[in-house]
Amino acid sequence: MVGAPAMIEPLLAAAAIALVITGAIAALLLTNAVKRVAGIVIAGFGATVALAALGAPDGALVASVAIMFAQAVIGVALIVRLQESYGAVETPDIDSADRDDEAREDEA
Amino acid sequence: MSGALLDLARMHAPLLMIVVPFVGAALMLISGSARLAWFVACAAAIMASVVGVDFAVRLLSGAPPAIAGVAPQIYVDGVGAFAGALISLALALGVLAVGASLKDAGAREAPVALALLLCGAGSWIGALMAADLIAVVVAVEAGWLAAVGLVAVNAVRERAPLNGALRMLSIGSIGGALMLLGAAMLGRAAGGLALEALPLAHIRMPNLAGAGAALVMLGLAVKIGVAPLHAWAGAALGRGNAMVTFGVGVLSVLGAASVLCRFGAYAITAPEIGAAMSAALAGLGAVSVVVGSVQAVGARNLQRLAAYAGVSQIGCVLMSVALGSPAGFAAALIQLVGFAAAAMAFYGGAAAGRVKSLTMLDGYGQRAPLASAAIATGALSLMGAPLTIGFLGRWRLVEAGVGAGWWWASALVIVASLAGVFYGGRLIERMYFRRANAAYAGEGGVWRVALAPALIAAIVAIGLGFAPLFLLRAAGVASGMLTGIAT
Repeated sequence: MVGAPAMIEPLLAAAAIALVITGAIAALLLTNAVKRVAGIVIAGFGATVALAALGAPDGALVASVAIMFAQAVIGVALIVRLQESYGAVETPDIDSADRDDEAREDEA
Repeated sequence: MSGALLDLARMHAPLLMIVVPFVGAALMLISGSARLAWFVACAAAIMASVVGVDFAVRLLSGAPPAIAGVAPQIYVDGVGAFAGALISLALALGVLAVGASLKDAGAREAPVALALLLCGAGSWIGALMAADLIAVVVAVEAGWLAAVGLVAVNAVRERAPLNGALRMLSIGSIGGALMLLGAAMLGRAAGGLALEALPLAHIRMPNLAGAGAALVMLGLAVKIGVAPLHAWAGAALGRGNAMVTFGVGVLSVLGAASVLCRFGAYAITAPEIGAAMSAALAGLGAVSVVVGSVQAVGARNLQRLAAYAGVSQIGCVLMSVALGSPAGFAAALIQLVGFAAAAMAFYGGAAAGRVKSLTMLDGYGQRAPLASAAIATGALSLMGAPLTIGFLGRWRLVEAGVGAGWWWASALVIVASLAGVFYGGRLIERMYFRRANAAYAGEGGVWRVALAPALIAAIVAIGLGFAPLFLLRAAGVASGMLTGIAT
């Protein structure tokens, strides 16, 4: 029983790192803005778990949750504005619309 | 009575440098009109810069000033005081400069944008004064999210900044998660999160500590826009208005680079992880110099060109920090001043005439001689031309690098300067040797005064190149004051 926490800690830390990597891949590689924001939240959750697993103080956990919440709120607001302005949340569509805008501006 | 109040304010100077911009931001949200909000923002920014510069001058002139111990999370060191004063000064000039372009930001959005500008600066200064690593990460994230918000809020006339904001949020948030993960690993390995204890800590698990410090640096490098982690820079700055270029292109990059200098100074001086950190920073800096220079040469958009030239300049800053010596830290601080002055002059000159593409620069020297002079000075400083602050910073890097046997760093500085001659020379040729193809699109009348900050920055860029003694001494003292003066 005494050894259980010592065993759980590296497992938790490994799971946390896996979550951060999964979230990072989703946020950086997926083309859908909603999935990107979900990836950001997953990575933030992973970082919070890592803080807990590695024995960071309680204040650090609260700070981590606050950061994750702020990122999610701004992400959702951005998705709404992107949908209003571009009518799309897929980044290839958005990039293509930007390229068209820029070409029109250069011609003018 | 006023003398006692002044003494009280001076004793709380580090706290005031952080709090004043936030108070200004809160007032702005209830101020209603854009013009009134701008006046409030100017007052707050000027107050913060006066407090910051006064504190830094007192600190770096020799005798450490007394500081009230009311905030245990604040820990002031030389790098923090130097860079904090620089950021507050850049904030004041930036807020003054955006006065003429408030209508570009939109009447309803301008107060919010100004509030975010102030919040961002306050957060970066907070990160420079934070005592422990978690406080640094929280302040950095606050500064970064303010920058993302600033870009998104300024998508009034154009929708492209929204795309830039999404990229900033995606990449920067992952950088934030990596910083938190790194802080947890470093804290576990070093037995605590206090920055001041890091160089002397008995690190039980050097590999874990090294990985943690590397993740923190990676997270900060993302926020600076160091190549190849700068995918957000072109999208966010390429089509942004003056508020975005000053708030993100100058303040945010400067803030993140300053925090990296401060953290790097503590991590590199920790014996168990110093060598690995130095190699990682040097590699990142070298890649940034090369990639930034190549992209600046190929850029057709003026703001993207400035952003990529800044990436190259920040690469030189990272190489200076990687040296790990007081001479290297001093060179990094001088280059931060050089970056701030050049970027301010460059973006200010472009914003005055609403110039975005290179073709709009044709004949700009005849249409707007003062704005053109600011852009030309910024370009000359970014390319490291002699008698500018850019040359001084690079020269100090070459000196420190040769002293440490880093000949390759000197070669990279020369490569960056040669690339600078190419893209800077192209700008100057377009401004002064081509016929104008469009009318001046900037504000007239009294708002021409908004060009003043760009001209001040240009004068500083040249003045410090001619008479650098004060700056050299201040940077030298700041780099040697890592043990801090207050807890």
